[in-house]
Amino acid sequence: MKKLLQISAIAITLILMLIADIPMMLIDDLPILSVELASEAEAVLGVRRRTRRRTAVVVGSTTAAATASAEASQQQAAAAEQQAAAAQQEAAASQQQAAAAQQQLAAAQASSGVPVGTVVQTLPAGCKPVTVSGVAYQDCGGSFYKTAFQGNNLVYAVVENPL
Amino acid sequence: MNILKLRAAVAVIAFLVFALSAIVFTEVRAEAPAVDPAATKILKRMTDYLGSLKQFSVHTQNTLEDVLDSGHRIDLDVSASVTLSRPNKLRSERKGDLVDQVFYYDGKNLTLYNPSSNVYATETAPDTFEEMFKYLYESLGFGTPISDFVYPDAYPLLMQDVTFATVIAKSSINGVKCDHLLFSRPGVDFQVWVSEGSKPLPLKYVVTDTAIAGLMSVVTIMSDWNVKPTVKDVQFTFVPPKGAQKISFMPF
Repeated sequence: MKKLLQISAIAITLILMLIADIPMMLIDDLPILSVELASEAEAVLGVRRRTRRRTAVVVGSTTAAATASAEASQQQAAAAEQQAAAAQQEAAASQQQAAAAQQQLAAAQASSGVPVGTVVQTLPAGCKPVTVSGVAYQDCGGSFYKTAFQGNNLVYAVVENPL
Repeated sequence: MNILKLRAAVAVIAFLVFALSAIVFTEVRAEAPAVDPAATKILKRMTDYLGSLKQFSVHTQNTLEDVLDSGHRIDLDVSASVTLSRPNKLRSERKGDLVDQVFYYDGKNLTLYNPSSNVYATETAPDTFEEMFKYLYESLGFGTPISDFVYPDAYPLLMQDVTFATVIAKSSINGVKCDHLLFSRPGVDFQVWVSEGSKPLPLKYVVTDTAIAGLMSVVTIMSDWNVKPTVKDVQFTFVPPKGAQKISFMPF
């Protein structure tokens, strides 16, 4: 009987200790013990928040602008890559002139200079405005640019020779 | 023998209590910060007030955070003067790093006019703000941060999927006292600064993309609110100036 009382006393004490511990975890401004416990609680929340961020999916109109800007810069990057690729192709074609297909490609590019479909935000130097059947173009040394809005940016897109 | 059994039983019970309390109170701690009604109340007051205004004009300073290919983070700034007339008229004059143009929407057509190049593009537009902004974003590829507050049902749209909301503190934007609110939903955090007093207007709006590592934001500061502007319908309809060239929107 004495043993039983001892064991129950230990169990009750254990439970009481647990309960007493809980308010400490929840109340931040308790001077004793609070520093460690509060920071641990924040750490848990912080990890949760970070996990949520990692697995999150962007939705809604509020992200529209951010996404649009990212896309715009991607498009710019893509345009720049196209230009770089074109320059490489030109160089390769003029140096080697190996396959007939490559020769044709070189010929096509020689007439327009910059590949059709390239989009730039600023025109190269020395362009002359040309109007063909009511549509305005810029003649930049044989490459023809058509002015257009891409999103809300004014851009210039290379098109086939309209003349 | 009996005492041994009892001891074992007590130990098991004690362990169970310990385990249970650990589970329960971890949950309580994790869920404690949620949607604070004080924050949603201020947001609702603001959207209701904006929704009740038949007409208003405001100056916006829009900052778009961007990262260069070199890895440097930069800001792109655009300022705009926006005049709005419900149900479906809007004019916005924008000047900045990226743009120099006037946007017209008269409920039938939308036009983007670039004065420095004297070119414009016009499209037939849907007849509500909601559909028009959707068309702008989805078909023409440009977003307008202020549109979040213009929708007739702005409050439910803003509160959609919000998992966390709180009042950060009292603050001051351009000398006007306001409440600084924070809202969070998966992938997006947004902060709104709402002016105190009888005219609860948004003074600053920050949308942060939390789905990317750089946590990039779009910041809009709103000033010179006029809730009773002099508005004429002709302001919203574009008439091409002499010599203006019509161009097109590139497919998005």
